[in-house]
Amino acid sequence: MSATNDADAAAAAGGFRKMSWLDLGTLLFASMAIGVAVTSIMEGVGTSWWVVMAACTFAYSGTGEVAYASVIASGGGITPAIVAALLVSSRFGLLAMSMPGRWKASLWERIAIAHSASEVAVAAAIEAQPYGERAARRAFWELALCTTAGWIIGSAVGLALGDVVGDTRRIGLDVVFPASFVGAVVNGLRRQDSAVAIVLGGSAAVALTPMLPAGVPVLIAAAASLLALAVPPRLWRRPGVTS
Amino acid sequence: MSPLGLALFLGGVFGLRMLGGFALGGLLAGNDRATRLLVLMPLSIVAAVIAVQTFTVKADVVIDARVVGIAVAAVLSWRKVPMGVVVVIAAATTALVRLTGWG
Repeated sequence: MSATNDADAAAAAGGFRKMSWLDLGTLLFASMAIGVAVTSIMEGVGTSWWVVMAACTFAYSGTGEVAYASVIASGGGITPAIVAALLVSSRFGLLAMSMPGRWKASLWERIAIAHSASEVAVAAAIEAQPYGERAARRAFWELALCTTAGWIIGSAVGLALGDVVGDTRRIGLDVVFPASFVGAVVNGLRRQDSAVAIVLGGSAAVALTPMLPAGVPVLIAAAASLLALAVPPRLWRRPGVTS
Repeated sequence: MSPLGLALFLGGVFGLRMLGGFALGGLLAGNDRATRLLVLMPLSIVAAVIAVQTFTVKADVVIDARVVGIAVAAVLSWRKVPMGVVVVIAAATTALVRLTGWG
């Protein structure tokens, strides 16, 4: 295989994870569960129902809501809570930035892409990209639509049910979200430059978390990709594998 | 959240997204290095979000059952197991480890 095809080969190794209805249903259900949990946290700090619904639909940032709620719960004011929510959500601007040009889109689709560029949808698009623009577009929208639907329905269900969930950590709900986009990361490890971007980004974010406000470590981790530019976009050489 | 606060939160996040998707994205389009950067940057961000949600609680570095769940998810994803199965097994693994009383 030639060097230019390395990126494609890396992602293609082992085949394409096409989404089945079962996968999408599971993701929809998982997003619903997270929506219910986040809503009960928001209600716990006295947020009214219409604010919860407006936030989940238009800000569309669960981590932003949790950041807001945790500042309020620890006795902080509204202003620092909103600053915290915006900082935590700032990564969505960068994720939206990585989307244009992956496929041809109309103005309205570009607005919708920018609004719904969550980690899981962007990660699915990256994983599908080597299989062409159509595959990337399909993967992005499948994940974006079913997680958005689940998230908004879950928030509404959470408002209707109140605090019935209890400790969601008991059912492992806190790993559902990161587990859904770990696929793009392990694929990225097959290539030298993206592996550096991943390892630097991940370790910088954890190392900086104790000393910086939430959200800022992830922004600095995003800058790690600048360093990874210096690394060649090649696959790792493995003994016995001829390229 | 006051109406003004809500407007700031909604408008702020929406504005950041549109800034990224239009202003900044257009600025970098068409340059080779920039194109590579736009492939690498989301991977850094996604890795950072996974790392933060796996190894930290608020401002502390914490190693607990989540590490086992995400490690299992990583291995399954490497083996190209479908995403729905990965998510369910990761949550179940984390829950089982917690049943043992750790994390």
